[in-house]
Amino acid sequence: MSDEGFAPGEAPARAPDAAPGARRVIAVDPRDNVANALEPLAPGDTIEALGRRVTVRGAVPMGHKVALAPIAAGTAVLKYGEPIGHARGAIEPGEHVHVHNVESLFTDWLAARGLAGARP
Amino acid sequence: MKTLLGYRRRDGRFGVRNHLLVVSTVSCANRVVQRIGFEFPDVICVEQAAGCMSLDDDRVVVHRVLAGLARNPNVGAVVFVGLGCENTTAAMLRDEIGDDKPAHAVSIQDCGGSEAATARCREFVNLHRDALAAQPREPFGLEQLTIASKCGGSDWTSAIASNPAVGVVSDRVVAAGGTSLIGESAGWFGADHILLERARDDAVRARILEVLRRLYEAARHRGKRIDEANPSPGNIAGGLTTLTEKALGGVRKAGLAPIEGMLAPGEAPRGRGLWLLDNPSLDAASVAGMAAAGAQVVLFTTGRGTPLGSPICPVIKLCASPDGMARVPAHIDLDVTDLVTGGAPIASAADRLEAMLHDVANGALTRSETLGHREFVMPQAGVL
Repeated sequence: MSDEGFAPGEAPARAPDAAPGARRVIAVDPRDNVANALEPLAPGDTIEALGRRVTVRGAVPMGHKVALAPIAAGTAVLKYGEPIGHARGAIEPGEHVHVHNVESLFTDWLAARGLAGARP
Repeated sequence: MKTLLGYRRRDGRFGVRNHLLVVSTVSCANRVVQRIGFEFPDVICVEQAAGCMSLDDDRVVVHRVLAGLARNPNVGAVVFVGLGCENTTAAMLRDEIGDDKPAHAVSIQDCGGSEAATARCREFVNLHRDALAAQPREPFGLEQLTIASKCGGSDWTSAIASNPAVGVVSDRVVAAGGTSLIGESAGWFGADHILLERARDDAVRARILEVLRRLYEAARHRGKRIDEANPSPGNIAGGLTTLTEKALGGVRKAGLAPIEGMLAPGEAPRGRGLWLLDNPSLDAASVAGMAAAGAQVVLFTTGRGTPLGSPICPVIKLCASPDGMARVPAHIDLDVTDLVTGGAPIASAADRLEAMLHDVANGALTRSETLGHREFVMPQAGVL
């Protein structure tokens, strides 16, 4: 609980200055495989985050997520260092990541918490 | 934070405002309260849609929220106005407030009608107005401060920027011995594992699960899933993909402090530190619950912007969204867009928010106060 505010994984890293010719994105945690676009992204744009340089593959509205790494079908989309959903199909680096290709984790909360069947 | 200055109450707490509160205990008394509000714009007049013909659990909430509002240290004196035959009468509440602060009860049926009741209210208002306005502020410490944190009109910037800034300030207040409240229970699904990890003990964990389970099952009873309406279309358009993503962002308002307990609506914290409130997500009902729990100031992050205020608490709005700042700048107290456009560190926004919290506590008006926003919705079973 330092005055810098956050332990690793708890808050955004400082958004790096965009490399020449690159669009600005921000990654929240070093373990993430997506970043948020700080400006609209178009196919062919270059972005850099978490030490990766990626070519954008589809239009990404400002504020939406773009993949920084390949995300295999059924595996976790990681943001804040945690799974926020599963990839419906394989997602390539540079793709827009949103409701069209992300499955919610939220299937059965009671079972996940071990409370299923305890009450009507 | 430099010294805080507030209004000393008989129980030793301090208010950051010195409000004269006139509140109806049932909808039948609303017109009387309304008229007092027209006559005295500086008096805080709160009408409500509930107050009678409710099942036990809702009745208890109305009672506790009204009592909690009146007990909030920002209130210097209170007049309860009722019809006389309702569930929770004005006299009951006045007796409950007791010696805490000047408290009066007006019953329309006892007075002989609404005209006479209005006249009676006017007498009580005139009895206290000048003294409240003249009361001096005295120094108090951070350990006497209770803040509450809220997000509304969220977009992708709330979780990435403004909520973490609030979390830092929450941790600072708790570290200094103060109290911090966080609510909006339906917004915890997906981040509940974080709250459970941070809970002080198994009893707190059990309470958190009890509240979440009740919400989850209430939706299921209606054939719905709790995540069907959440994220909203506006959230999705703004980049939020799943309820989990939204919840993980929302919980950032709570910083890193351990969770001391979970409070029922209208219940006040039993000690210092960070407390969860069983609390609606509808903005006006959520803030009402926070005021009833004793919050003196509310920190409110927004992406898309909202004018919402509270009858008795200053609500500080902060916004990290260039979109929101372009739409409704008049309602934003603190522009923290540099967090997303300029790569500024979270701590810099937290420093500015802390400085504003100090100034607002000491009397600087928020935009919502200046513009007269005093939204109030009674937390009730149908209000999620």
